[in-house]
Amino acid sequence: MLLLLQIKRAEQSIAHRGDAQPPGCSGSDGAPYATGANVNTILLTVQTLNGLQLGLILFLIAAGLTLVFGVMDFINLAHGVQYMLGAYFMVLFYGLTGHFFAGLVLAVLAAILAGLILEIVVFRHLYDRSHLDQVLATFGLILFVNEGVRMIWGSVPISIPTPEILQGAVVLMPGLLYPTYRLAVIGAGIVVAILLYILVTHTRIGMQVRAGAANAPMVSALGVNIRGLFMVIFGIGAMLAGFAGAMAGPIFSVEPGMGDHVLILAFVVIVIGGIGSIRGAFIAALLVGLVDTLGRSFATDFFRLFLDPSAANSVGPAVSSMLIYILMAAVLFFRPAGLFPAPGK
Amino acid sequence: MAEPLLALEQVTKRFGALTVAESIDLTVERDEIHAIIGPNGAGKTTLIAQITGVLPPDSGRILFDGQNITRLPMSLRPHLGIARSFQITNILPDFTVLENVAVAAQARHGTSFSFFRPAGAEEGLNAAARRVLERVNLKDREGLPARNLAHGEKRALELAMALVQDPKLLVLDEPMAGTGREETAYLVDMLKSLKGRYGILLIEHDMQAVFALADRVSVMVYGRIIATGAPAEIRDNAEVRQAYLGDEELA
Amino acid sequence: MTQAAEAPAVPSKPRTPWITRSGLAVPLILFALFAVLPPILVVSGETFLLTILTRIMIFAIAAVSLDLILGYGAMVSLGHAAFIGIGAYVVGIMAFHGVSDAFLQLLVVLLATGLFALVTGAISLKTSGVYFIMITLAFAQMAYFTTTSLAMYGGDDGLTLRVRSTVFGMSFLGDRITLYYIVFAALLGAFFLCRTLVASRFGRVLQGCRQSPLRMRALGFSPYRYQLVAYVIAGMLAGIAGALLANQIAFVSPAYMSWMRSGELIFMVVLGGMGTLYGAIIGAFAFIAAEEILSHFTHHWRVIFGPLLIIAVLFARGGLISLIFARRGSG
Repeated sequence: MLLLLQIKRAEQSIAHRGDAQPPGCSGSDGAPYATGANVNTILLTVQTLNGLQLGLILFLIAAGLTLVFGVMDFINLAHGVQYMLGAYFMVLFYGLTGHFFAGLVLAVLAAILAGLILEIVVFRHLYDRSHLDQVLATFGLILFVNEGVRMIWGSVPISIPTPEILQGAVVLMPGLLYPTYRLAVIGAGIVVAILLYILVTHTRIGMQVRAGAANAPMVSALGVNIRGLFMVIFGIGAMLAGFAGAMAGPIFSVEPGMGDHVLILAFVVIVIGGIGSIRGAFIAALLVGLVDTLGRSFATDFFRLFLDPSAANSVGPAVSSMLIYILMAAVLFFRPAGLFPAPGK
Repeated sequence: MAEPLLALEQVTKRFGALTVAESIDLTVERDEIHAIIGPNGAGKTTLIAQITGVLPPDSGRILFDGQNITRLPMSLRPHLGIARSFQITNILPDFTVLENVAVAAQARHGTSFSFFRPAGAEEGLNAAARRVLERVNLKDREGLPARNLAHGEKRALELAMALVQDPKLLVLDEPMAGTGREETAYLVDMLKSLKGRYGILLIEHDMQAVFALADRVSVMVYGRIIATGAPAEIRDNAEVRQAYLGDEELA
Repeated sequence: MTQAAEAPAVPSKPRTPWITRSGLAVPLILFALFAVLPPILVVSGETFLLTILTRIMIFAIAAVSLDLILGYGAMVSLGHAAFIGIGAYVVGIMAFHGVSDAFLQLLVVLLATGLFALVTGAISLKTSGVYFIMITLAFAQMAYFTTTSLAMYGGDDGLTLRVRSTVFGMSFLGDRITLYYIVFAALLGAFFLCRTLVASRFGRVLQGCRQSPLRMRALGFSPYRYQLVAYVIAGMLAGIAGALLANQIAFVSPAYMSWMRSGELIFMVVLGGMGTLYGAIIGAFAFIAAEEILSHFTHHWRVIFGPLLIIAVLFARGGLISLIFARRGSG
């Protein structure tokens, strides 16, 4: 019972921090549960999987964002909004079609479309502007989209049901059941990561993107249509963020502002991984996902080893919420350009 | 004192496969103008970057006044007496001409962690700045925002910012770049007036200016110094003519 | 250099009155207005406006401090609200433990915000550009989540101030007009302090580093040290704003340091006109007034406000000041 509560708590903390909303429902897939066996091993396994899953979702968001930074030197605060839109499009199209996968495809397409519209209407006018202007305009966009979503769908968190074939749980080891849907998210995240890696390393467009991340003026001078390249990168970024949002829907609740916190986690990922580096984003995302999730589940127990329980109970959560930022600071201290700085930067 | 003001010993710098400085030996005496000439891409600006601390050399030593400054941070070098101008004019555009020079003076006089006394009212700084502005003929421009100066005036302002620091060595990266004929003549006169008072390392494309000013000239091609000597020797050096001067002499 | 052919014709400066040259005309008018408004509002029964004006001045203090690093130091900090939050929490937590003396609280506020600024600034300022923006944001978020995890002090729900700050054991900050004038005095102090700093040797170096860090290094300055000191001073001033905010609302909450607040502070500074200090005050006024007015029309005022901000960025460069006074923007 204690175990189940801890998992629930970790889940809610992911879904709900970032705004002052009261905790609502925490998804409909049912939390993982365990019976008997070695509780510690099981808890560790479950939380590692949860960390992996958070990490992969962060990767999907950070991958597009790091390219936008690297290639365009453009700071897009509204990227988290695109993640949120993916989730709301999922609510919309799942509702309309009644079919999870049809809803997913339509949601991702809609997310791409929304991303491209934003690129044309707002972002493209900001590429030549200072970082300050970019921060301000994309901040205005966040206010607008968050409030727009609130007008249409309301402030109450919405939960997306898990598709039928991914319901239930899989026995991973004696005494450990893990929800099928969460495993599917981990699997999908890995597949997308591989596809993206192939796209970036083995295709012509990927070559241009990599070259752009290293030296954008040079790529432009070589006659590559930089404007077209920017749109492609934005499209990819919007697609990945939208996909992440749609997939995350059944795990976290869908609510206005859900992208804001995720955006900052993605920033931490990018800073750790190195701007413009897909590989860096991948490793840093898993690192952040694991450190955050495991920190939240074990920090209090850890502090109980040498503090009295009541002190541990107050220190543990405070420290665990700081862990990833301390990690970021440490990485910056030793490697100011991140773990995998893009060449030429 | 036979010790040169600035001495580079076997300074080498590579960017990947490209060698931009290969075993450079170079000296600047306390009272000479030593010019470096060479085609674009020869590595002249990279050499200046190493002397002023923008880039560290891969190997070799840089000695200033007998002190090893090879790895000394850039911001500490002016305090030893190294001042520089940039190839692309680098002034503080929002400040007035006077403020530009006063802030340069401030770097050498007293602490800048002074928070309450208005810097604009410090007569010591302003007087030092005005003395130098007079020398470079910018006195009547002192109240103007530096951004509004003409190009040649900006180059002169940069020189004033260097001079007010009372340097021992002036490192000038193409001070005539982009200036018109009259302005060039004016800048050459000004540099002549500085001759003998400072050690000057001058990088310049304008051959007439170089031969008019320099005590010694070094020719740099593809990261190497291929010849060093008095201007007349360099003019007559066959290898130099072939590698570098040939075309210009014809034209 | 009279022979320079392309020298632009520059008219010699006409003698201008001191008030114009000193750049104090607009701020002095602003301060005069702030000084005389309370009696007028009380007589006309609009005490609600008094509350809003107090709030405006509190955020103006934070915005002025942000302008010091943003407008004069070109440090785009997206985490400035963290200092407001820390200042507020210091007051809240000390009051929770029965320590309500204003001077003691102020001392701890300055120490806590100064220390936080020193540590986070020391790391953030090693970087620049988008890195700096993201890292300041991340550290502010760290402060935010740390306060939400302080279960003892209300966690997510925030903490009601047990007692407002007291001076020599007397409590008078509950009185609106007294609080108003204390906030007003703090704003005056913050403004003139920053103005003095900007004009000092230190301020010159800070501004030089904004214009060309490379030039400043070549002159022998290490930008890092000056930027860090400015960052710490700005953080401490924002901390004072937070302490005042806690006293006004008698409540502290993690929401004070949410990153949306930091974004709003940047907007105040830029809307009002960066690098003028009083622009930050005008910006705070315009921002909070617009928020109040729009929220009267619709609950969903952000749907209007967001696009307005985007349009302001795309079309009104140089801030509201440049629209109203047609002044030359700085930088």
